[in-house]
Amino acid sequence: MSLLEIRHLQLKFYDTQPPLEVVKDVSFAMKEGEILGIVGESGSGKTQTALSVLGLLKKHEEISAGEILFEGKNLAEFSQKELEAVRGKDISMIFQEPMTSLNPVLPVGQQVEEGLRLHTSYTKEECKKRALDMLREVELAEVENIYNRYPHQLSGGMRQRIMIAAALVTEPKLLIADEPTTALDVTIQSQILKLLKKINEKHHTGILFISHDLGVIRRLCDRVIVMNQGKIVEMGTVEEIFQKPQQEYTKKLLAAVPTRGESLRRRKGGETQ
Amino acid sequence: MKKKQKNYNLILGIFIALFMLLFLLAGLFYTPYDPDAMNGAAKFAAPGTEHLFGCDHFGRDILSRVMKGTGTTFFVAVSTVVLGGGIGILVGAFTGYFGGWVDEVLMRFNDVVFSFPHILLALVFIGVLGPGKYNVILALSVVFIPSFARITRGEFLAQKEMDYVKSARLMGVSHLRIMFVHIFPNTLPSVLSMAAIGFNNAVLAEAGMSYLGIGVQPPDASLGRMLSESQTYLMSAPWCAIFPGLCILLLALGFSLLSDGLLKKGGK
Amino acid sequence: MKKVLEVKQVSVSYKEGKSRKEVLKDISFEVRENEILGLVGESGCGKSTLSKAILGFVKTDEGEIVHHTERPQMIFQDPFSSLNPSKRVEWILEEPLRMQKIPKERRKQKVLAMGEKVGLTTEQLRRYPRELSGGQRQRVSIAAALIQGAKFIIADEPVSALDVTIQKQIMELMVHLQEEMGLSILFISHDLNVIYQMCDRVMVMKDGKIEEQQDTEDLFAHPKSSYTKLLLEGLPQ
Repeated sequence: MSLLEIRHLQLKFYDTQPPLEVVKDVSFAMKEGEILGIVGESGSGKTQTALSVLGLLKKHEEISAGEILFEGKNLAEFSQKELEAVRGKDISMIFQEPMTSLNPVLPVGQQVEEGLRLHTSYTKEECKKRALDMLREVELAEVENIYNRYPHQLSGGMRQRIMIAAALVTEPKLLIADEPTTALDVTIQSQILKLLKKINEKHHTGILFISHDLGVIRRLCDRVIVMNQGKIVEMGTVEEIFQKPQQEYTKKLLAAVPTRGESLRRRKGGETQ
Repeated sequence: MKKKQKNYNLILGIFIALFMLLFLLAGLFYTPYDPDAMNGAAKFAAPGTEHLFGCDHFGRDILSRVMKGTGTTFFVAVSTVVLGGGIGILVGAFTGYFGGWVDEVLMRFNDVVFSFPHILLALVFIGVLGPGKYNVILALSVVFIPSFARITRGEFLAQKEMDYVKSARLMGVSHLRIMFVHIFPNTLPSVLSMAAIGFNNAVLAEAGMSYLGIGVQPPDASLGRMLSESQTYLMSAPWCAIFPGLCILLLALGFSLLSDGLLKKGGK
Repeated sequence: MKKVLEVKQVSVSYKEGKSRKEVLKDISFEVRENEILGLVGESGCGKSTLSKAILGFVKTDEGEIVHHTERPQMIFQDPFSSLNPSKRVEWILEEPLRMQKIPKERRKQKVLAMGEKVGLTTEQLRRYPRELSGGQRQRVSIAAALIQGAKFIIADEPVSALDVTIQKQIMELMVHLQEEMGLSILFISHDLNVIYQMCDRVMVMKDGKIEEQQDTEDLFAHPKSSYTKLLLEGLPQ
């Protein structure tokens, strides 16, 4: 059985007349322990697809057809209450902006523990012990000290590590990551990608990784889905998509990525002027 | 099925405000009777075909007086908003855009004015200036300056950090032109809704002051004054109070819905 | 080689509580005529402060900034904040010409010609900024920067907020305009690959200092500073 299977998902925005179809008949499956990337430009529907898994859509956004099967259970039919039991326990999520997704008035340690308090019956001491272990796991130093700090006292990279710790503390089977490295500097970005890879290997956590950045997707993922205007354009392993893209759109997308292959400038190669 | 939400506040606000506007405009050109003419025979006449809203203790036609009174109240409120709002916007624009010590001084002064209850401060001014329509306008305007200055200053503070302002500077646009041609239109949604709130407060303040007898003076008809005069006969001739009251209510309600609606529209 | 800008030993600091925090430390470089000079660095390295200092929005503590052209213009990262939301595109493009006291007829002609140059249709010129896509808005910003005839442009992360396919179009447009109009551009970016594609020379900034500056090919082939090497390591090829 797949960890997550999405069948003929259709999603509409109802704040316009006529309703805008944002996701059109999207189907894919994801194995346990797999890192699956969804890549696309703005308006491709990649984020809405990911958010629909956790029922985190806005008021005017609605799933109009299709099934979202998580370990065989259809999440699209779950009530908000039933979803809450899944959210943060079996499926967790991390977001792009770690500053706004952490509560500014709570020490970060408490926020890491939150999932345990909601979903387990651990005592206070056990919760704290596990939170500290988790902070070590995401490669933070002086965890006892960090436990009592507030988000604004930490750097962007550290905050993203805290987010990851909070998401993984309940040992979920699936982690949904929506552009988690986009707001970070290149050097920090590298570190976070390595961390996600390590956690995936160690705990066998499935990661659904949403990004507009083809370079990041290529470094992290096993398989890739390319989306454009609400539809899946192409799906395959990283090698297939990046080495032998079949569809025109994928080729165009890959060609647009700035690389060090060819410069737009007609400069004299390497010569000092 | 979820639909795009209609802005009912704005629609209803426009409707009521327009209705009141037509009502008072009509009053400028035509009233069924002379609003000041006393008619002993019609003393306390109940509303009926002859006098639609009835008559007061002097036998004056209430409909005619309400039409004139709404006009007076409206004139006072609009003048207050234009005068107080205008000065407030200027103060807010300069302090918000330039900052520095001018900002500090003016805003501290603003805080002082702001810390007194509106009506109390207006009473002090009337105490100094003496009662009357124009003094009421003057007093209320001064009282309204701080709230306009504050809103405008906040908007200018936020807008001046936008890149389009830097861009305009680089192109050699003068500060004054940036303030009033580039930035000001972007502050209109909040300034307009503030103006509607201010208008409301002015209507209520004028009515309150006239009710206390220190506002608009006879023979000018004013809604507040009519309420004040009718309180003695509240049980025997309730129509003397109901109709002016209703007009105050509609004026205030219309413009408050209008400001809500404008804010909602601007927030999108 | 003629220069359009010389920055000599410039330092800038901010007041932070009682102490002063140095954001630019002894910066020296030049921008030459007809070149795209890249400025790369991570957030907080001082690259935005440097552009503000060049434009005179920030006071320098020490050093000298010498302009050899008319005033430079700027293209910003966020195409939402850089265009006045309450004005139509044509109004925005006409404003710099109004400042030059150019008569109305002539202004209209210039706006149309400039629009054509950056790939905006007459119909798009009549719209409000919010009715345009991110790429189109960036075209407007470029047109606004060039319409007064500026020869030196500072572009602060002009393509960072755009999708890759649009990003490429805007990069191509900028290179094309540079060649056609003989512009000098100081191109600020955090993305080394974008820098590689656009620039003739590159400066790497870290903690308010210039780590190194070299011709592009040299820098990518033989980075001198260890920080540049670290940046290049994190880079997909």
